Amino acid sequence: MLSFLKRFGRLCAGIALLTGSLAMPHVAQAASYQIYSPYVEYGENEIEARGYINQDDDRAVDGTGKLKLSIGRGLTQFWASELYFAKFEREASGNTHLEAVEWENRFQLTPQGKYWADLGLLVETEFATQAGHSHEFKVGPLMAKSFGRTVATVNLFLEREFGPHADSDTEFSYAANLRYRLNPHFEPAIEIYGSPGDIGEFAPKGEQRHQIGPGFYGQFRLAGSPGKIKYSAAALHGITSAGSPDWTFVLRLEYEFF
Amino acid sequence: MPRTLSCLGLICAALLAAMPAAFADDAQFQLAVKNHQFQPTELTLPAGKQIKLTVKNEDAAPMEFESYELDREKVIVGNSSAVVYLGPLDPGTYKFFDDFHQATTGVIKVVPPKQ
Repeated sequence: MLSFLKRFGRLCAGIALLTGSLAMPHVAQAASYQIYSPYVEYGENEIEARGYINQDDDRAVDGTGKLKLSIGRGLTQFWASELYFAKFEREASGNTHLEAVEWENRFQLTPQGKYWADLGLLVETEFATQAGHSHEFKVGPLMAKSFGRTVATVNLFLEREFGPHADSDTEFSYAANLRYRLNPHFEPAIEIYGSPGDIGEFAPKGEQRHQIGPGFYGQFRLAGSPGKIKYSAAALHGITSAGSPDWTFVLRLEYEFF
Repeated sequence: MPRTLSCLGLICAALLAAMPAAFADDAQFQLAVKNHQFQPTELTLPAGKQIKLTVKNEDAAPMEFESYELDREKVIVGNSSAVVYLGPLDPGTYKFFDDFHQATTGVIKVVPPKQ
């Protein structure tokens, strides 16, 4: 275990140095509306599209959203890497532009089922593609615990901008869900996402972002295809008046194959 | 950034420290795959116990131990083995298969421990 943690530490340090050295110029901080599992499947490839759109009384927020496209692979038994080669942002006006590219790395730290809960780590770097915007580094633990057919997953993140236009604050955010494994095609869930603000300087309660709502997960195999189609969706209600959109609708599609 | 990493380190250390050690008295079982057949095809496990199941892939081709009922997916490369931790499980029948060769199937029967 100790040698594994040492290897893992060196790997994280290497990734942090590499991603830092690739720095280019503010990517607006926003939820990714994704619950990350701590598990890695060695050799598994994935092609993913996920996005969300906001509905709100405020015209500056209503209709805004994002779409992310990615490819990824389980590189080892404990490391999966994913490249979001296109992150599009939709403005309230309806205009859509390429906002950033992103490199995401997930590490499985404990074997599934060995301890009381399973632990992983997410290390993500987002590079803004627009001049005058800053990049973003995000890191945090991924936890999962099964209770019979119910799986609870909790993600805690620290996010910090870097680059010439970056501010020096570190934002705390969280994402969690409870998912009931009813059958492979339909697993109902409750999801919650939010951010109270920057570490040591949380925003007033009404201005914090907290959203909760129902969702579902599922998967099926395509006849004659070597992989699986995975899908999930959620409808999230803002529970703070000023800091959260009234509603956010999330859709995720993924093709996984070996 | 160093403060961010320090915060993260503290969170991870606290999480690891809060986790109890793995059950020392895991019940240990073995399963093999040879010529794309599980051996045995039916495994009986005790209910209510932490199980350490070693799956040995004796074929040259990789396989994936998968079970929706058990909520497990584990890729095992050719001529190697991997450990799959299960449980504690309720009494019942749990199907599993090799996702890379889906005709390769087996079943785990979980029974109440003998009094």
